[in-house]
Formats: sequence, C-alpha cells, structure tokens
Amino acid sequence: MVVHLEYYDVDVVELEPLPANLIAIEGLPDIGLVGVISSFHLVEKMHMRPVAYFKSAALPPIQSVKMGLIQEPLAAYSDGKLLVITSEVPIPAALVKNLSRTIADWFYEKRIAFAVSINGYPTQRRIEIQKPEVVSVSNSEKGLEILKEKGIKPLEEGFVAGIFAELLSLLKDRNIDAYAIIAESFPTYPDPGAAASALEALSKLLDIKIDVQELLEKADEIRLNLKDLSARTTQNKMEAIPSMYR
Amino acid sequence: MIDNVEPLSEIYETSDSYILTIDLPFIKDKNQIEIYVKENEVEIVATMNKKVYWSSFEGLGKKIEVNKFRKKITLPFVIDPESVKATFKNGILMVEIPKKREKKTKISIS
Repeated sequence: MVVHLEYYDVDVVELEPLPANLIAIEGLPDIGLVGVISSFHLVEKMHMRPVAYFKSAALPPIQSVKMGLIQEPLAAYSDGKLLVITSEVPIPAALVKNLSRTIADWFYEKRIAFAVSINGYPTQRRIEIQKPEVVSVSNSEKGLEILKEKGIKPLEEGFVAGIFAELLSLLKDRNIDAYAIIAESFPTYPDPGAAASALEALSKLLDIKIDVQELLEKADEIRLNLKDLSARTTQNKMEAIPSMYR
Repeated sequence: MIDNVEPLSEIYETSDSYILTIDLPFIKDKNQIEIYVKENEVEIVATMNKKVYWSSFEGLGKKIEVNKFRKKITLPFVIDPESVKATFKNGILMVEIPKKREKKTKISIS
C-alpha cells in the first residue's frame, strides 16, 4: 500500500499502515553525524524495514542503489515499536523548516507516543575525550522529570539549533513529548564514539538493550564511509545556522 | 586502485598559530603518518596497514580500494619547519603551525 501525503513542499509516501504509539527517533544529518550513525545502527540491529519516505524538490537529486534497486535516501524505518527517520543525503538549509513541519505534522497524524532526536554538540577538545558525555533536553516538564529519573543529565542552559531544535518546539505545539539526546562530538568529523554514548543514553530512556560494541569496532569503516556526507552536512550547517549558535 | 583519498580536515586560527586537524580512520600509529613542509605548503600522507573499500558520492558510489590519505594545505606565509608541532591521538592528527612573527622596525622621524 502506498499512501501519499503532502505537507509543506515535502511529500510523505507511506509504504504500509503504521500503528499508533510508535516511539519516533529522529537522526537526520547534523553535527558529527551522530544521529545518522545511531539511526542506521538501530535500523540494522533491530532489523527494521523502510515504512515511508520523504520527497521534496529541494532535496539533492541522489538515490542510493543497493543490488541494482534505488533506495530512497530520506526515509523512515520501523520494527513495529520504534519509527526511525534518517537520511543518506544532507538536508539542504532551505529545507530545514519545511521538513521539520512535515515531520511534526506526520508524527501528530500517526499518533506517535513521543519523539527522541539524537544529535551531537561540537567540542574542539573532543580529541582528548575517550567517552563523550551526553546531555539532554525536553519540551515538557514531565519529559524533564523522566530524563532526570533515568539519569540522563539535562542541559542546564544554552542554545540548541538545527532540525531537532525546531522539532522539539513544533512537537510541543502539538502536545507531543519530545526529547533530544546530545553527545559531545567532533564538530565536523563523523563520530561513532559520540553515537555510542548517545545510544547508551537512549537505551536508558527507552529501557531497551542496545549493543554498541559493534558500532565501536566498525568505527574506522563508518568514519571513512561517511566522509562525504559529513563534509556536505557541515557545508549545509554553515548556511543554515547563524555563526553565533554553531 | 587509487591511493590518494583526501581526508576530512579542519583548520582554525588562534592569535599566534594555525591549527590543522585531520581525521585519519584506519591509521593507528604515528609511524604511519608523514608530514612534509615546503615553503608555504604542508603535505600529509598517511598509509593504512591494509587496503580498505571506500565509496564516494561521485563515481556512482562504486567501492574502490584505498590504502592512503593525502592532504595538502597552503598557508599565506612561508612556514618555518622547525616550529611546526604535530600530535596524533584517537585517530586525529593535529598540526600546529605558528604564524610568522614579523619583526617590528622602528622608524625615526626626521
């Protein structure tokens, strides 16, 4: 079954009906590709299948190909419990607002339970850090209490910027609880170590087991293969976010 | 086979130096890295212990065998090779290149 929904210049194509109360995970390309690395690890480890994809004229004209078949690069995957959105292509700066709105409206329509964004925050001293620290943000008082209960340190003060920041606010408007898990990361290099820390925090938040050992073992391979996506994401980020908030 | 994959790199400026960092996956030891300085250029060559597969956005994303990173940076001044410092930690090479200090000459007023 293919369901075609059109939001803010972004089409959502659903490949199958989705149950209500899925836990949504957003891991779109951003700092250190922490969300992308984490998302694809979840998709692989939890044997998720593509359930929807997003199309927009603003996306770069790229299709990944696997075994001769095109694969939609900006897609949602599910195992029936989690709903993971990630992308193999960078999100153009001009699309950030509309894509965030589309995702927020789609989550509302699909009656998701709550949403978690996974991201990195840049630190120049990352080279000295063996195990990146994680901070968290919520869009509700209840969510903040849950983060504290689960032992995931909230960010006391500061700024968050990017799709996940937009999404936290848009989901608050729609009365959907949302969290962001943000790990210390290399500013412009793919960071599997940061993704491992973020996934450990996600594991605490969702009370599920996520094995990150394989992620750490494959770190070199991941860093090399995400080199181009990382470079293009950095370039887009420079265009999207005012320099004082980067 | 190609051997000159360009690694990700970043350069930033402090008051008295340029700091160049380079992401070098599959490089485990400083002995795998060579740094050359010539006039206003720094060239880094890092050799992996094995051939690995890499696919870029270009070239249809076809996987190619690589075993070497190569990166050349040009700076706006002639570099003093003796003053350049490099460290390699957690897969990241950091090269500190001090800025050339111009000697001030006091001009007398006639």
